[in-house]
Amino acid sequence: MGETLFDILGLKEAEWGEVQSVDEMSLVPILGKDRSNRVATPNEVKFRKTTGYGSMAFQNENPEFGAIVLSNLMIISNLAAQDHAMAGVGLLDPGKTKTFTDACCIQSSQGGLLSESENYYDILPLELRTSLLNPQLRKRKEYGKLWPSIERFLRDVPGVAGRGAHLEFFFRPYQKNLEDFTSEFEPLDGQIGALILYNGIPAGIEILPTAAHWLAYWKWIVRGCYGAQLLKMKLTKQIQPLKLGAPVLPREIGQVEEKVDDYLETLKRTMVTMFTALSVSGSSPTSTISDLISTLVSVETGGGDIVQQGPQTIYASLVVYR
Amino acid sequence: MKEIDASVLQFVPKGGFYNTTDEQLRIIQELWLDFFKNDRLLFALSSILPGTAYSKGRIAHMLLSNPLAEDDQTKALVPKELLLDDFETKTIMFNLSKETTTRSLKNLLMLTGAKDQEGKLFLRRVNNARTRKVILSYLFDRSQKSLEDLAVKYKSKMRRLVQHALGKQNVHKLLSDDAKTFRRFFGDDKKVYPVLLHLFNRPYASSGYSYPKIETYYEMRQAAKDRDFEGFTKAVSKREIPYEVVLGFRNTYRLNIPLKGLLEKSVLSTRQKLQMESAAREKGVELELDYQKYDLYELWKVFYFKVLNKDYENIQLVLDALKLKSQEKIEFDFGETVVIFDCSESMKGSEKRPLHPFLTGLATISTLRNVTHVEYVGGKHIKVEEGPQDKAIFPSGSTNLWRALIRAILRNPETIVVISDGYENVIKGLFGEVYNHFRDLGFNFKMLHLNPVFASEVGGARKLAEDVKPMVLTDYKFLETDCMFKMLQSDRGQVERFLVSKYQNLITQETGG
Repeated sequence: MGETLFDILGLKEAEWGEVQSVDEMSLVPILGKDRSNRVATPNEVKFRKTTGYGSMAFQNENPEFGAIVLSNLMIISNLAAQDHAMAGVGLLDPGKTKTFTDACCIQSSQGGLLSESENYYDILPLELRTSLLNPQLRKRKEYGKLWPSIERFLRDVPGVAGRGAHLEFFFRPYQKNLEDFTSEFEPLDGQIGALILYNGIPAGIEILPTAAHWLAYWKWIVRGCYGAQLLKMKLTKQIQPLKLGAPVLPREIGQVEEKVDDYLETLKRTMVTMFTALSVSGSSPTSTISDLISTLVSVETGGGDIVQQGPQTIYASLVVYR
Repeated sequence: MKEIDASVLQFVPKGGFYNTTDEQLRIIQELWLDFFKNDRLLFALSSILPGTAYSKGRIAHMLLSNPLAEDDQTKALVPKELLLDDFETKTIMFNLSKETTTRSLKNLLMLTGAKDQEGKLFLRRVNNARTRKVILSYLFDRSQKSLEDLAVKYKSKMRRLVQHALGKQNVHKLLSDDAKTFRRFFGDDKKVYPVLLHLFNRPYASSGYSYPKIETYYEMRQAAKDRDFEGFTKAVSKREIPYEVVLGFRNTYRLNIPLKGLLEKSVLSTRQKLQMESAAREKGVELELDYQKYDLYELWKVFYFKVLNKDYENIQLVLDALKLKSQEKIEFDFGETVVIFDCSESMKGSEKRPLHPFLTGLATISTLRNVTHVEYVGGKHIKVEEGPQDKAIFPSGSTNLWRALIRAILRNPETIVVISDGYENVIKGLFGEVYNHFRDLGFNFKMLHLNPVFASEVGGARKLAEDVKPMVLTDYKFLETDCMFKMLQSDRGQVERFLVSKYQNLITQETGG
């Protein structure tokens, strides 16, 4: 593409919110105007069913505008049905239902088809999303294609490993931990996305078309993708326990506020700068509907999906943690 | 014993922004049990402090399901005569008398056992001489008029309770006019008999006592059964029957009568009027509301409900009432006080209790003495198009508490009151660091952290600084309870003496005992 990632994502002039940081994870909110008013709202995008193993059908109830199904959206069902996840992002024509036949089963020894009810939604953990950056794996119509990666993900997780490729074995017992952790973050007014870091190292970039989309989906992103990955790394001791502390505070009481402000501002600038260094190493269009084009983008440390409407990137979901 | 805080008296089974009801309930049950086992007397006595009806109901359930043991009577600080005087039953009766009738009946119904959504028993059935005494005394030791009102409005609940207290066999005997059994339970109180017939759907006979409302009830029910619209409306027009009873007949017998007329003619409680204000107006009915009858929390709730729905009718009256009610301050005086009020997103609360933490915070600020300044954290301003103020703060955004703390400290107050759910994210732990820094520099302000959210993961309230133990405050009226439990950590004896004295003043005055 010949542009930096920040160029493509339209982040050069972005406004950044205050850094939110809990334990090892930090989040820099991306603020700004909605990027599109010609895209279906979250309420208009509905999961309908799996028609067979490896398929996921979604409906766009908006008769005028295309819809985006979040990249690597996963569904864990409370019913006896095989849990599934999208292999990448999905685009839906206005008013249409589409079945994605390259979806992944995330529960290796469970029969039954998903329906609309009793589903728990999240985004796949970061590590599994990284596996799905491989274009061949992503496109392959084989519902068990993610099982080896799931088994690797579960390996060494206390009480979970060695019981097959069942992602629910992680999400169910640790649901409360994930909920508590996620809820420590808060969405801001006008927030459309976030940069996410683990111990100061870039982990992901998420941008949604509007603030309403962020409000609807932020928990799935923070809980399922980044929160679950962090928890897994903590449980398996793959991450150094670190917390952002305070700067050394001055004895002159009138200067304390300024000192902390400077510290937080520097922190934010440093974090954003780490992402500006990411450059695009490859890209390939994956789908087109009416005015929306999705592209799989690679950067040195990962990659992900973006969706463009004309020249504007209105959706991006990239994992860049190595 | 775990450290007991005021959350034991402030539980409401409605979940929070972060925790589900079940999680919270599991933790609070452990706290109740721990407190009960450790000091039954204090457990019972503390229930006379301001607290939620649900907590008091569960405390009563626990007391009634465990007979008093001999060694419970050896606690030195409680006078013996108090114990001999069945103080637990009196405490339970006192608490019931202070709640709304609906809530008191719900608490009594806890004694009949309760199941969760999956049908598992989580509250066992309790039936003994003490429960019988409490139930019968609450239901029937009242004036004839009050008994009639209760029997009309809460017929089925009363029936369940009587059946539970007396057992099927005794109820059968009573309804068969067995004078001996009647005397055994009700003595010479003959006014009870017609009410029992009414409760158990036996042919109603007044037997010398006049119950006009019960008669209207049957008149209305017969008219509804016969689909006699005119007769039904005539019975409603007597303005004797509560709105929900009228509505119940209308719905059960599918009467096609407009709600407008029923709303105008039925009896509405003060609370119902407030809840139905907007709905009534939409139907063209004007309800007369005296906002000054409501408490600060309810008034703030009405204010925000109106602003969010752009319903500015009577908003000035609400603001006037808020101003008036804000003049009533709590007894405790913390000296010159700066408040840090967390208005971040999570203070919006749960779906079951929207805005509860935020409204509790607002009501608390209104009632604190000597507040010289309020530092708001997060929040956004929403437009108020009519009324004397053009904007109101609303929960939104991240939790940046450290800055507010510095600004509060620099005002040099005697006390800093922090009202926050304790979930800090810009950045987590910074409040504590700043707090410690100023303490190290020699700043001696007192700090109270009032937390309107019960967090199951910590079994109480989340803290913001290591040496500031937060106090759960789910209702602004419970601040006294909070202060009492805080004192419990340092001077148990004083708290016991205070509670005994409070018991003696309140209960012996109320019950004449």
